[in-house]
Amino acid sequence: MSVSPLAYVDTNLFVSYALGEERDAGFQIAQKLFDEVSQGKYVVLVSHFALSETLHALRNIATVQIFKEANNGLSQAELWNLAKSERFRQEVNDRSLKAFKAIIECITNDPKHFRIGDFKTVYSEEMFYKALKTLSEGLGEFRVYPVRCPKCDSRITCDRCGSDSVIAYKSVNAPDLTHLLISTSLGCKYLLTMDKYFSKIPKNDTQSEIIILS
Amino acid sequence: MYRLLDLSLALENLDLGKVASAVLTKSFSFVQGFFGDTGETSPSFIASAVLANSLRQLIPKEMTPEVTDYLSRTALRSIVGLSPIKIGSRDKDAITKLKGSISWLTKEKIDVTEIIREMRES
Repeated sequence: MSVSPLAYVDTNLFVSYALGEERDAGFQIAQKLFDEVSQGKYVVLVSHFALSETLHALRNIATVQIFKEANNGLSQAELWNLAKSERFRQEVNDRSLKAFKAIIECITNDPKHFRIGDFKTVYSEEMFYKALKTLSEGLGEFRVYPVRCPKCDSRITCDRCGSDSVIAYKSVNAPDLTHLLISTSLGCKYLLTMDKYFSKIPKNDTQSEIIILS
Repeated sequence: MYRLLDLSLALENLDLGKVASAVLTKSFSFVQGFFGDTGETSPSFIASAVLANSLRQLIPKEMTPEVTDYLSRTALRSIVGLSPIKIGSRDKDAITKLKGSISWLTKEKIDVTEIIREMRES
């Protein structure tokens, strides 16, 4: 009987699949992956690093959702009062932790399909040196975005200077490379992600093979 | 009620000997604190011996990959306050349950890959 290869699954795939079809743009891609996992194509490696990022993403999502539920037209002072209130903090914490628990409940209850990063693996400083070398050898790209209202998503223009867009530097970054280093150290044959910036990482026979799902 | 097994403490170190030692030490201290330290024939010694015997039966004798994996799972669950699961147990529907399990977290369709991308670049 063949053994399914170990695949490091990026945070975006976990969260997308858990958010579901109605809530995330990348859900179909994530669903296809987890269907393949069910069929035994891969065993998913869940790293504590990816879970840390998952929790942070859930807190971000919860914060934005609660902000959107607040009344329209709040002044900066009123928003500050909201942000500083115990009720707001508690609500963000309760919702995000509830979501995180739901994810942990599923992945810890299925050792056939999910494996947790073991506590014995040690990461060498040399690996991070190589990551730094990779970053220093290539410059990313610049993208231009329209400025949008974070509450209703309408395009907006600055009253003072008239700008309606921003320029941003986009590139593979230290967290991406850290995922790859962890994946390689934990013995994963593949690193699966929906993030196309991973394509900027040079291929190397000694590391997990990066597959960008689309 | 006595709290005989402090799982989060025990699982901080997955070396079995240290796990056993940590649990026993903590439990002995508790029992001794309750009965008072009056020597080897005291109730604390008897209670400790009974406790040690119970714990030896609970703690796996060999660190197999299955046990290592189980302890990692249990440690992860303890972080979010989920109760321990039985070793070897499995929910065959876990992947199905994961799908859309947190759809209530947001009311609008979002692009979580982009959100995480921004997190990584900020």
